[in-house]
Amino acid sequence: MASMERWAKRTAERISLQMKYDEDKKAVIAYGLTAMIQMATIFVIISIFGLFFGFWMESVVIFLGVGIIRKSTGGAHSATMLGCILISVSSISLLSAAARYIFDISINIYLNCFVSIFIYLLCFVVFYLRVPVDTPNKPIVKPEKIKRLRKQSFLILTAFFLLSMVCVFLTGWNTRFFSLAVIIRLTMLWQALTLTRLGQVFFAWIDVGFRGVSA
Amino acid sequence: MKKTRILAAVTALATLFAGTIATSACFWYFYQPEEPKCLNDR
Repeated sequence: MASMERWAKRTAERISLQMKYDEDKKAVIAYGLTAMIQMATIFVIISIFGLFFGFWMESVVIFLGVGIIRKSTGGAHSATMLGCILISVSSISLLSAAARYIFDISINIYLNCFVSIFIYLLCFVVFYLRVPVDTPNKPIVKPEKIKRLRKQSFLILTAFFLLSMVCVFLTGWNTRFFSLAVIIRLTMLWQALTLTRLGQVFFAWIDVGFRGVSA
Repeated sequence: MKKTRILAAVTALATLFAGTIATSACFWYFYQPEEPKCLNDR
């Protein structure tokens, strides 16, 4: 996986040489390419698992959900790309399978609403206490940026809450919406966990296991 | 000429991704490489 980063850097070097870009532009291209490769790799792997086991839609919801909300909340990070891809693929696949096959039990609509409200209240508290969670590789220090990211986080969380409620109410029309409501709730819970110290300890523990493999 | 166009397109896409990430809290998922210095102040 470190080779993916090396490939991004080499490609950026080749492009910069050909197009006569400066060092800054080269670094920006390498950074952007690394992000693109990471996203594409995770998407392809979760799509294969999702299509094979029948939870592709849930996998895509969690892939987009976590991706969108992490851009404003931040959260625990893996020190290596291999650790990131393994955690991402396993968490997305396990949560999708759970939403599709374990929690896919029809429950009363009022109980469903109550569960949603409880989970989102919990997430609001965690977000209020922790957002934004930065990393040494991308520190967030500017007060105006912190304020903007906090505001964005609450707006996105509210949007996901409304989306969950819409899915809950559409369950009567098509039962597939039930597992979508479950996966949106699980997405937010998982993201809230990565904001806590427990989540950071978990990621550090995973890193210890995979650092040797990705070196 | 065609190669130059492709390289310019890749550059534009990569720069768009990098710029979007620079204004965010972090990368799309759980790995955050070191941010280029020229994007630090965003």
